[in-house]
Amino acid sequence: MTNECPECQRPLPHNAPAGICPHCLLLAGLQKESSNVNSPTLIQQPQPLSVESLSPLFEQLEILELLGQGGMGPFTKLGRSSWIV
Amino acid sequence: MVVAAAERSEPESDQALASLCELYWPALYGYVRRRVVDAHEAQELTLAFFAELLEKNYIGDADRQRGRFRSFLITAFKHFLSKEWDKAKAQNRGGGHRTLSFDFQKADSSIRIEPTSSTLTAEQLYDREWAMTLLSRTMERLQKQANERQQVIQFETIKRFLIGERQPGGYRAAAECLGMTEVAIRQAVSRLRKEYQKLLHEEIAETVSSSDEVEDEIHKLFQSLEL
Repeated sequence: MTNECPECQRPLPHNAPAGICPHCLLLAGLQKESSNVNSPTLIQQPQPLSVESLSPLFEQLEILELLGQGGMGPFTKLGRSSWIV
Repeated sequence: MVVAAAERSEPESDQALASLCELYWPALYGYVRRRVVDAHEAQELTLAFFAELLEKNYIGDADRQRGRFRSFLITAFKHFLSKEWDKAKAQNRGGGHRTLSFDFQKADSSIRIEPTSSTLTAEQLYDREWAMTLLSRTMERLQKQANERQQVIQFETIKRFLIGERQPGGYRAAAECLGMTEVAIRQAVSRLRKEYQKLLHEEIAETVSSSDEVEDEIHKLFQSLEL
């Protein structure tokens, strides 16, 4: 057994429960809440999009305006770019 | 259980209190060992206190004690000690020590009372020993469950991942050792952690007056270990 906790680097006490760091064991008892999926740090808010940022991605189409932003992505009003004759 | 222990009319109340005493007595012993030079005297005081606690129904006297059993117990013990120290020391302490049997030698080696071993006060030592007893008890129950499921080797191999993944060899070494995939190990650890959390919460719930106090007790015990 090492004499330092690999998680928190605190020295392991001689009577560590089951040989495991007591600090980390107590924290592990709290993890039910800290791992909550509603934690704000786990939800990445989408960056606002602009016509300028979308245009290079769809060269064959002309993006006329941005109508809105849904859960799956932006809604756009499109037009065909000039046809190559 | 504290509620059960406080209500003497309940048939299981005596047993409930005795169970709590048998589990957490080393914390009180650690406290008095820090305050009393003579180990034998500390042992006698500890036994006498628990004998009186069980015989005189301190918990019932404490007006259906609210709050943490941990706080109640140390307060009652301090009161008992000051009362004892006011008396002549020659008297026979705790003539009827009932059926309590404490392994003081084991407690001494666990607590490491030697004055130079730490700078903790008696009360800090009490809280710290309480936390260690709680965690040891929880891990013992977890191990017992593994024994019953005939998963001892798996338990012994993955228990260290309860606190995180940064263990020597990581999941890969554990997977190779047990002939399982890393995904299976990860799932087994996740299940074990949930069981551990459930047992820890159960154990703490027995020493506080409502389940709302469990998380707060964990925070307080964590602070006691930080000292």
